[in-house]
Amino acid sequence: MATESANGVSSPELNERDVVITTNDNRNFTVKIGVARVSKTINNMIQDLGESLDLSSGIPLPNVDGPIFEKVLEWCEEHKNAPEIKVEQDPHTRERKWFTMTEWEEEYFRKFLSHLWDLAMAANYLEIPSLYYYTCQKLAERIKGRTPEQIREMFGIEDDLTEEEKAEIRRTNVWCTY
Amino acid sequence: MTFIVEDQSYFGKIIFPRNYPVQAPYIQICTTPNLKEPRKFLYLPIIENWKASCTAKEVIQATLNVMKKLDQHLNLFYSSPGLNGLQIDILCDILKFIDGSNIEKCSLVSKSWENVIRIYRKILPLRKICALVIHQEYNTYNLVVRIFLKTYPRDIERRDIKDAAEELVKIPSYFYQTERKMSKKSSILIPEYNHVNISALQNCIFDEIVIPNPPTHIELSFRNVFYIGYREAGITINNQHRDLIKIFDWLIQSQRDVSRYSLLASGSFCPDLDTFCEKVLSAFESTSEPGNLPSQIKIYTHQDKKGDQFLQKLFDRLGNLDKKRIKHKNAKGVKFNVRISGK
Repeated sequence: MATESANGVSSPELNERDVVITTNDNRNFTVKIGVARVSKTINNMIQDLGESLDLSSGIPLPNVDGPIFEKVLEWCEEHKNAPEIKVEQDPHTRERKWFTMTEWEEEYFRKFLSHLWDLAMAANYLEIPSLYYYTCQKLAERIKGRTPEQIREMFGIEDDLTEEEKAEIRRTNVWCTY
Repeated sequence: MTFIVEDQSYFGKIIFPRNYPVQAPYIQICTTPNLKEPRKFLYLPIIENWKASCTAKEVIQATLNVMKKLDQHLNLFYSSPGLNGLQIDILCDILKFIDGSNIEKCSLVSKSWENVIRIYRKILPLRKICALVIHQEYNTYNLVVRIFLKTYPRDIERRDIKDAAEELVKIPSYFYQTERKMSKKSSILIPEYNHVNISALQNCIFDEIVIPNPPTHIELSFRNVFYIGYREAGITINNQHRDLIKIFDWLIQSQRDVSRYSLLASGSFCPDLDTFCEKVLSAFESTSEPGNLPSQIKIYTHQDKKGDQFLQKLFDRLGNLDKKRIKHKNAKGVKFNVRISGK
């Protein structure tokens, strides 16, 4: 029989057990441990708490709210057996190499386009590298090629730079073409 | 145990060693928000200056205090204007997917974006620059270094002047005055920050202090970017091959990896071009690390009798080299890209 302990064991039996996760709006999500473990933060907590982990009383996630966690869970469910992603960058330009997304992933981001910031925040906190870097890439895709005005409008950012400051930035970046 | 700080809860462990209270306990926080390494041990003054008389209650109180401070700090961070709750780490990770030119554009979004970009510029992607073109200024001993974002000099020939002007960056004056005849002064229309004197060129290449955000592939060329204008004005360029030899010598003598530089020679055959090629071949033949040498040597020239002789000589010489090194498409090493253009 597989061990009951959660301490560093990823036994199939343990992965099939449910754990309750409570988000900051006090919503409880009953999740299979195998799915929850896609998040390194939750996985670490399960490992650290070991036998003292009470699966029914809930793991609190103070920095994630329910609606976003729901979306994250959708990702985790799909990626529970996915291999770790490899983040690569161009050694000369330091620019990150773009990931090739599956159709499911493209559709996922299309569906949650207006929640990309929140997804990135949640993925960062929950330490889900695939969701985090893919979301960052999606955000970069939206920023690329847009003017500062369009970026501000897209993300609801206030233009707090004076004309003098803008002129100074343009002067410092001698090759800027905008 | 669960710590409740400012209405938020965190998991943590306080581990009391066997010889407690002689030895201090360890405090480990499992879910500190937004810390890169969430499982680190907390080091508190009470632990560092541990006394056996300290009680467990004091340890817990000190832990709560430090977490409260951390929480306040994070709240301050989140309320930073313009970021809209986005963490600086996340913004950096987004910007790392974007090329240097777009990052500069993002500096103009807001003060906080500008701050983040300025502070993290050294780890963010660099601007892709296609070519660094160097030529000697008229009447002076200055070398003029010009940086192109999109266009290689050779593209200019294929386009009319107006089209080229749209792709060239920061060299507005000449191309927008197409009616104007080139005069000797005209070449000094290049912005001042692109001028370096010949001794500064070494710094420019090796220490990268003159050129911010050094380019990824640098084509060192004395081929004149104002080719059309000079031809109209009947001016020919002298000494370019000699300067190319000088730069090649610097690259070799630097004993560094200079593989991201390529050299472009063009023009009619002359003894200097011959000397240049001789030097390049000798360098590649004698080095033990050809991968550290300039990745490409391109020679563009016209077809004539001298050209044929030159090619024959070149091919004879190439027979002595490692064929794989020459022919393999992506291999570094000597790669003579000889283009003969008919008159």
